[in-house]
Amino acid sequence: MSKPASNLNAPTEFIQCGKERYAYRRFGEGQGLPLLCLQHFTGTLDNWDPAVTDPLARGREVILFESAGLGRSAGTVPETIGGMAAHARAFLDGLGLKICDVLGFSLGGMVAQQMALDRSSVIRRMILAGTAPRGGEDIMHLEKPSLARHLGNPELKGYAILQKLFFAPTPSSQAAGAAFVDRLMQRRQDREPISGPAVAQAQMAAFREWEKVAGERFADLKSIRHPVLVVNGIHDEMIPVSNSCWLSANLPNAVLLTYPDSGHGSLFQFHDSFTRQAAAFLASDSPYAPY
Amino acid sequence: MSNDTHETAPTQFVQAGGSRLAYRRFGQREGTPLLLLNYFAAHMDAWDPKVTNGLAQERDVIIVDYPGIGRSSGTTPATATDLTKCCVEFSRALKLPKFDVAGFSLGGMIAQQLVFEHPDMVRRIILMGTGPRGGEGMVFTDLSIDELDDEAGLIMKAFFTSSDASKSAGHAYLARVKTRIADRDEPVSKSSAMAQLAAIREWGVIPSKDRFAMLGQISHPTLIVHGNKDVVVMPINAFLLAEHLPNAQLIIYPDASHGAQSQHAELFLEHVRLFLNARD
Repeated sequence: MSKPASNLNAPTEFIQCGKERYAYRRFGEGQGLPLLCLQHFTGTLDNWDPAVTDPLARGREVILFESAGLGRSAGTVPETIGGMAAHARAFLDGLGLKICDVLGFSLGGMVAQQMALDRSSVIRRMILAGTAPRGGEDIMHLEKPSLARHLGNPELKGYAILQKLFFAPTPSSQAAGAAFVDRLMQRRQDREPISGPAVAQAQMAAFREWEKVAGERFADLKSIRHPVLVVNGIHDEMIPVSNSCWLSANLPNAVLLTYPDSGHGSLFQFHDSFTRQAAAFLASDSPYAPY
Repeated sequence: MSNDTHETAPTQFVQAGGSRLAYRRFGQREGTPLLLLNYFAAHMDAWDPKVTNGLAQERDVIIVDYPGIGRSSGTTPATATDLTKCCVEFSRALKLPKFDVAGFSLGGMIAQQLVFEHPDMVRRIILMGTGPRGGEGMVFTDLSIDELDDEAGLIMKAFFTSSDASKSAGHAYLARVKTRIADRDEPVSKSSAMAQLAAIREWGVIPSKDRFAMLGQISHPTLIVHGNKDVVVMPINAFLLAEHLPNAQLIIYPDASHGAQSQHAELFLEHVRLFLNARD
């Protein structure tokens, strides 16, 4: 029987790394380097859209990482991006992976940038989706009216809130959001526990810390020489596209791609296009050209 | 298909509106034609052969001189609207079926105006290094046509950044635009350049109301490409296009100025291929 190559049926595995015990999934195979996927605010392994992970798993191994304190990973959620990056590094060490490609979405994109700064050799190429540089603006302010109206709506529960938050308020984007939620629900067994308020609180503290800058704004980015693909929805309310604009303006080797009619979850809405673009980007072995 | 390339395609002429327009057509002769609209003070030989030949691998590529440019007769129009009229007359004179349009800088302004006025003529749009009507910093008060006296210097300054990689891409570009030897275009006159500068400046004036309303009416699939360090048309303009066009994908290239699509030609051609071959 061949290995499962889908986030719908890949078993959750566990690894002991020093004092930490992390949950993760790995599936797929091919010529490419393994792709480490770093997750968004409160998201678990179950929040990775199979329409994004599975096409990418045809060409490389996809590794979904559950950071400390989430899902069935032990430990507590760090209150800084630096702390989260340390967990991701410990996890790669535990797996014995010296180098990989990274897909970081939202919070995960910040962790990816921090990893690239802390230990640049561990990453070959990075995809940063719906994220922001250190010192970015308007990062995950759930209290602002455009987001609070969904979070405070008593008629919305669970993934219905996610659909409103991740997708633009147009019929086409909301329909894509409903399809996204359906896909997330298709994994029936071996699911992760849903994140509670303690996770949200710690991760929110990490966002606030990430907004702070010491020294020259965006100077960090200039030392990230990796080829980077930056992706964002043009109408992202959670982490506005201006943040992707700064990534593109200051990372020396980044291509920025924005999608129309979409919000934070543009990679899920345009999963066909995104996975084609991502595969082309990851397939390149040029050290300087982004593709 | 024709075996012609950027270097060998003969210059042809067609009567359109009041002018006799010079054009060239090469590449695949099947499928949706791709009409390229040129930048400020540029004739057909100013197109980058790496880009045009790359597009012609899969596309029926048409390049054209606006009236009064190169070997096209007539007076160069001094507004984007009048330039658009000429392009519409040209495509009708060639009896083009529904086409794709790719406009660079001034050409991108004309492409927007053309699709806005004649949505049924166009299938898909590619906008390179351009901005919306009334964009940011697009009245070009500093630009003088005297800069055209040192064309290579102007290209290096405007199309490429100061990095070694970009500069060397610039030198390669300057060598490429000379690879067509025979049947070259006539230089662009100062009066024609002046008229086009007026057209660009008029386009750049911020309307008193409904600043980007026109873009909301353009629902065609659109690909916008821009350099992240474009000193001619600031990148904010590409973001404004992406924000207000309902169906536009934006790609920004690194370490690149106004000549981003030439500096990153392989990548640009791959992005165009993905875009033009996508399902409608």
